[in-house]
Amino acid sequence: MMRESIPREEFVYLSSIIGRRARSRELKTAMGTIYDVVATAGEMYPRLRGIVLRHRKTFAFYPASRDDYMELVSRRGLTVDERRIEPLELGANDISLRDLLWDKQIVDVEGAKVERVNDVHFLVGDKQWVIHVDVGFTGLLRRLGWLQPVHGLCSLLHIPLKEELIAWKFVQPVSSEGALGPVRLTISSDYMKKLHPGDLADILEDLDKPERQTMLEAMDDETAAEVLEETDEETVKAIFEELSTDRAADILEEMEPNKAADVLASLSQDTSDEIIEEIEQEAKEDLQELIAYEERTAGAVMTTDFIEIDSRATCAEALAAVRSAAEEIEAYYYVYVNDQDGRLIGAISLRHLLQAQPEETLSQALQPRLIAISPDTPISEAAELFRRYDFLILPVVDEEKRLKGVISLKHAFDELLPYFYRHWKAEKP
Amino acid sequence: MRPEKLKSKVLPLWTRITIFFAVMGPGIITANVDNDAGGITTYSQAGAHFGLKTLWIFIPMMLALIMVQEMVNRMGVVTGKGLSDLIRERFGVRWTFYLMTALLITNFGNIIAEFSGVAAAGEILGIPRWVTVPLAGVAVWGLVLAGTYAIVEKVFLVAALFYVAYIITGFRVGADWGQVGQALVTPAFERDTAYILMLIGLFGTTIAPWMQFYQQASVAEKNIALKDYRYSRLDTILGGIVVCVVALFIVVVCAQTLHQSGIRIETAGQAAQALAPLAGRFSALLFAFGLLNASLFAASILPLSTSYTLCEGFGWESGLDKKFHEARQFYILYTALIVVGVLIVLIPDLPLIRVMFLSQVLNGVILPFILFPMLILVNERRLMGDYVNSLVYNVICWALAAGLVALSLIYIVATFF
Repeated sequence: MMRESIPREEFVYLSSIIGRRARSRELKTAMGTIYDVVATAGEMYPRLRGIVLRHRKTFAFYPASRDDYMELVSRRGLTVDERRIEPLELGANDISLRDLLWDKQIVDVEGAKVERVNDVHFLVGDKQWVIHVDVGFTGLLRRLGWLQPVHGLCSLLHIPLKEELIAWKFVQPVSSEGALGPVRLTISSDYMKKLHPGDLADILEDLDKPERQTMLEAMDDETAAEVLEETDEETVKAIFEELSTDRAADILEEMEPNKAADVLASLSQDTSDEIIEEIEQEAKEDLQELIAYEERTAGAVMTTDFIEIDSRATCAEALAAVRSAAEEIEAYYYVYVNDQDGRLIGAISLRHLLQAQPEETLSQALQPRLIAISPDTPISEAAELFRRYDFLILPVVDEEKRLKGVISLKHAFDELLPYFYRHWKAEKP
Repeated sequence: MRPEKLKSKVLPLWTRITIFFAVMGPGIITANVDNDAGGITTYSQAGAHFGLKTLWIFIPMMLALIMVQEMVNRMGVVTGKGLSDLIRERFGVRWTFYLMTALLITNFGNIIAEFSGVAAAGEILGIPRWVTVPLAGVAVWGLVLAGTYAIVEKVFLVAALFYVAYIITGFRVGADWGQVGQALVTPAFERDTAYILMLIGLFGTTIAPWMQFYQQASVAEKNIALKDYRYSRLDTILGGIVVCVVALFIVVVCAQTLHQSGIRIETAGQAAQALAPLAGRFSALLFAFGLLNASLFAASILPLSTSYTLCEGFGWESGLDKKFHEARQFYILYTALIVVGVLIVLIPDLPLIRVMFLSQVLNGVILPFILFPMLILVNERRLMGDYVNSLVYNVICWALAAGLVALSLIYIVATFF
């Protein structure tokens, strides 16, 4: 009946479990120390499976119960029923909390930042769950064994000592390897997918190299491409140097061609050659051409993703083409029109296309004024055109007037900005 | 993801040189900061007090320096993490806390030494320290926070070429090179506490604990690819040689002039002044200029490196790209190290030299406690894969760590008995 007064559920920290001694119930002999706690992911919160006991260099598994955890907290030790000890085997969804979280980096998905874990917070009842990780100063103090005295001092001085806990659903572990073997990173929270690529890029930049690589492994090619487009050049270079060639090629295919070309140009000759080999034929030719252009020219910043249609097509056909291309091509708001010989003769905006009669041919509907530049035009000149005419997009053609690519304000913004800024400075009185 | 050794391809010479220039930096910069105010003072004292009798330690010391720095460099390239990160992940909070506290103390000692160096160099040129030191503090704090650090670093690196000044001075005072050569290879040991203290100080100043944290962090930061490791190693080796050659010349200059005239000095500044009548005003000025450059260079790197290392270990946000409210601990620590450092140097009648020299001895005493965890980490296959230490490497490094502990113990025993 004593049981009634003890609350059924209690909060327990990993730090009050790890390192404690275990004793055998029957033999009263030492059974080593508690090395780790294993949890199984899959439900909303990972559920604790039990404790890893370590005796010298051997590890064993002990399926601890609520009472065992309570004993660990109140008596600072564990009495082990030897018959329940099992060999240590980790299943596909099992995570060893020490290797994955304890002192390791994690991504706080809600705050979009990288944190280091000081402690792990459990809810211990009939079942036991991992519910928070502790990344705060109090966690640090608890680990050092100074929480009580510092807490006393702080309350005396009326300094609030706040806990910093991150709820499990916002925790994305990124640790790559631990003492009990490689860490599996199957647990990818849905919140991760809600992060903006720009935020994910900031996180990648903040992570250490191995964690960065693991996190990238966890993303699909498309997400990885979007994120890497926003990541700084140095980090991207380092990531690609470490990626396997086929994965690198897969990601590059998903990237904007001009960004992909920038990446390839930044890599060492060997690495970039190997990766190009793996890229699909069509994308490969575009990329090789883009890489060949001199820096700070139109060719180097243009993208080869554009919509080009024969002038004999009708506006309805053109609209259908835009619709089907819109998924892949970001510069969908302009259709470029060529003649029978493949020469660019004009462009028509999506707006005009929508207003035109469906049966009208493109040669009738197109806007006759066309400004195009050559691939070796300096960016400064392109910037001047963008500024003067308020273009969103500018076509790039070769000597034979064949369309080679387009520069869009959106994608080349970073390259164009310095020239805009210079102009703005010069204009200022 | 265990790193396996990569087969090296033979690349054209020009390509190799280009890669080296892209990869170099961390080793050379660390080495140049190593010849800081504390270093120059210690080397000057070694020469002035003991003549050429400490020279024999320079070759083993250089090898030890290169080996230690090569290990952290390798760990930085292979794991892509800083040393305090690795220590935290492998040994937990408690160890990290003790090591970080020790590092904070010795680094702070070094920071005080740098500002003392500024004071000394200023006084040689006739500018009082209450002008130079606060000015240096504000300059260092402002330049780094204004984000011009990369430029500042290049300026210092170019200025570091002036270390040649010491070598020129060495030739100007006309040392007996035969004697120097012999002293380099003839071990001499004296059962004198001052001499033992000097040996610890020399080791402590040459292989200072901050260097391991700083170099590994900058290598990790620089994202050097595993296949370019050879070039990064070359960077480390060159750095190690440069430090020790410059140090050797300082000892020789002071031994040849001050020791032979029986002048005892306490500061590098005094060394420069004492040099004037013996080696000419020009030599003295060169010496002073070298000291000023070294002090400022180190003063702009040490507080920053210390703040980075500590924040990394404790998992606090750090970095100059963060705003103050995002990385409070980092900015407060950085500012406090500089402000308190400057204030301490301004305390009237503070025995600066004693403080400076003791900070170098403290380096030597703390070094083994950094070396032991480092050696454990560098030998872990799950971190380093095939890049763990070889047996010979391990034997030498453990012997070095043990030797340093022994030296520190002998010193403690010798002081009390």
